Amino acid sequence: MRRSFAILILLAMPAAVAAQSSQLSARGLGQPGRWLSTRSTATGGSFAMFDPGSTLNPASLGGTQTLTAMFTGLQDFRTVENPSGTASLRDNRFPLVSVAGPTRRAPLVLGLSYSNYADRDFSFATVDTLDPLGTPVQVFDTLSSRGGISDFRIAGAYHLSQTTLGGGFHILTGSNRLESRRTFHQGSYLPLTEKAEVSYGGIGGSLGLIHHVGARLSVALLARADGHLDVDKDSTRVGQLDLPYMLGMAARVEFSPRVALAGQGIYRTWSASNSDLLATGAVGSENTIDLSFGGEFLPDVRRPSRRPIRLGGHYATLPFLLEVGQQPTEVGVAAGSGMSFAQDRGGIDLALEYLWRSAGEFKERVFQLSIGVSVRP
Amino acid sequence: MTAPARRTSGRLLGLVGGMVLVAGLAAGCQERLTSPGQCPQLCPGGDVRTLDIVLSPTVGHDSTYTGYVNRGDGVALLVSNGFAVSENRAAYRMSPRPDSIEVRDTNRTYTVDSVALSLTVLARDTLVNGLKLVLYRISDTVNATATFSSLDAQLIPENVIDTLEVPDTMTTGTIRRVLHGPDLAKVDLPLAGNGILALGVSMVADQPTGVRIGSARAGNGASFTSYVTVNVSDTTTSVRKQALALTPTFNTFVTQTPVLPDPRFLTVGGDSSSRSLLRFSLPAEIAESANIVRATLNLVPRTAIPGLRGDLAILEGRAVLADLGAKSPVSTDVRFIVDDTLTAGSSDTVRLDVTRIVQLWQASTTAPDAIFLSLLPEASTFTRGEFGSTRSDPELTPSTTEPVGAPRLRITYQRPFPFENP
Repeated sequence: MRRSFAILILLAMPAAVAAQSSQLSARGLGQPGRWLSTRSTATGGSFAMFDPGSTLNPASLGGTQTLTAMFTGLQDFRTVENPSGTASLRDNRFPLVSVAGPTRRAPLVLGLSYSNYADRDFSFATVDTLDPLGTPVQVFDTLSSRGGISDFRIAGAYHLSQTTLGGGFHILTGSNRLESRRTFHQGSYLPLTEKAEVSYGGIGGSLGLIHHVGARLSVALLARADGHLDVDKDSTRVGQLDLPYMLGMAARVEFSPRVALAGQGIYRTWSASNSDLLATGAVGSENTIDLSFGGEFLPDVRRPSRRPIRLGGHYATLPFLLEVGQQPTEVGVAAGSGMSFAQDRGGIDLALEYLWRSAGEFKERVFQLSIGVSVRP
Repeated sequence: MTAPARRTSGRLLGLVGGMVLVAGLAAGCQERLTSPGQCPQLCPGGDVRTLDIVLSPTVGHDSTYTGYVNRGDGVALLVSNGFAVSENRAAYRMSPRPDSIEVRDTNRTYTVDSVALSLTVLARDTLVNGLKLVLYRISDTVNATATFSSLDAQLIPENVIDTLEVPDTMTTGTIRRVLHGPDLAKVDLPLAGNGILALGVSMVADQPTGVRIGSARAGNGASFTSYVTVNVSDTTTSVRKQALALTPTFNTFVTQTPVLPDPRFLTVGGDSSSRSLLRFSLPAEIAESANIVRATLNLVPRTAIPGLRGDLAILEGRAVLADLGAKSPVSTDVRFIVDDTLTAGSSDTVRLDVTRIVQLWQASTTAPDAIFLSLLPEASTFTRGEFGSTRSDPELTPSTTEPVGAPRLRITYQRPFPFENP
């Protein structure tokens, strides 16, 4: 009863989940999510394919020992730079909520998660001078978007000796609430606000595998296909958008009971969306790669969740272009730790990440704080 | 340091660190999302397009109608002397003064001790000094058929009651004069008569000018108060000494040469109380989907606007609910009533912000694309607006003999923002 109650509370937490915003999320579907728990974020994402708290690889659910609920919060501080100027921004997000637990009669772990597939939060302000009726008038424009696409996953992992197989069914849903506002410096012109809501719907599936090669080496494989996304604007179907296939591979090496290192690579065929995006007037999209590497040091082997030291970094390309031939990139370094309490029934993880994103003259530096709370009732 | 002390200090350090972390998160949990934009890279869908269009009324369908308010039915009367705009005289007919007063259930006669006459000045040219209002006793049969000549013929020295001097420092206010003794004969109302006093008003000043005085309609017309002693044996002052205050039951003003609206132009105001109806045809592109951010109606005066210097009139535009010509019903919703001041002597183009009215044309399927113009106060001001029409515009009517540009409706609008999908 108490377990069910705790799970209900966690599932009732904010359903609007999203990853960090970025000026590079203005086009296409926005900023793709990375499906990382705080623990994986602290290793640059390198442990994500093996981390039961991350929702990247369904096979990683196999690492869940007991019913566990996780909640992740993000706060980021950004410095944005583009040809129009610079700005210091900040926002907070809740990118991942998950519940998973083993079944009693079979080596099977089942889990539900709600995570961010793509985030399109932005607000851009511009100043211009128009010449209506031959009289110069200064205008202030604001274009903003709130929302994104969420990924609701139902997944399971099955243990087979040295191998764990996982599969997930994904429901993609969400919306962008777009708003364009123009105000005139001269009061005799009326300010104007226009709104539109673009909603999305789609389904996908993922398969994953984790294989333990001996006692110290593990490898993971991932494949995911999401078909296409139905796009409605103000309740009217305006088209479809092909979504990418995703292929991933990772390896983890435990050099000793205290030290583990992992590396991971993910390839996503975002160019599948290119023609659909070009048809809507967007600049287009390109395939992406996400490479990460990191490690974890356990000061207390008997209690691995007691203040571990995690380090990592990653390099990624981002799919949606601002300019033709100028694919955005992201480089990040991260560190973090965590602690457990109440006889490991509760835990808090912390990750600090510093990111550099750029696409030509569009740059941003992000300091990001991630906090993960886990409950094992 | 002992082990328990180390543990205690460690916990304290952890507690302080935790509090700092929580405080930092709480402080950071505020969003600031707006960054500088850069088009076209950061403008999905494009940018907001603002466009202009200039419309003229439908040719031949801009009309002037007259006679909405009769002279004297407005909120002021006009009096002038040598004024270039118009030559006017005013008249009041007071309510009858009773020939007896009821005291203790008995009608009793009275003796007039004195009378007070007053006039209210509503507007004058403050740059003209020496303004005097001259009160005449005129026939008590004066009515709406009075003409300038019939009234002016009675304004002779023999009929002068008094001259009310208006202080040069006074712009508006009431002038009062008390008559007693021999002067009472000038306003004597014989017992055998109908008890009605009628007053004619003219004016003199150091320069030709005009003045607007109060009217019965506005409740500030001339007043005629008789202070009487009642023929009663009671010596109580409040019983014997009484005042009979009378106000006008009729008033009017007359114009020497009434100006009739020239059909080639659009006229508002004047003593003919003219209004103008402008009909437009909004292009489909704007009517169906544009977002109107500003609409200005430009009116080109035929000449410098005639009127009393310093006396502002209000040009009012109202949305038309149905086009029935002169009898078109107009909106009483304040959102669709616009106004601006009309300054006498100005020959600048008059600009009226009609944004809300044009937005109504878009939103309503029944309201015609039309505006009714009038000048306030109607039939109560020297100001008269005379503007170019489609019949005087050389581009629209090349055969015009006196070219003055037609009204122009300048609309600034935006097309719907092309939000990018996705």
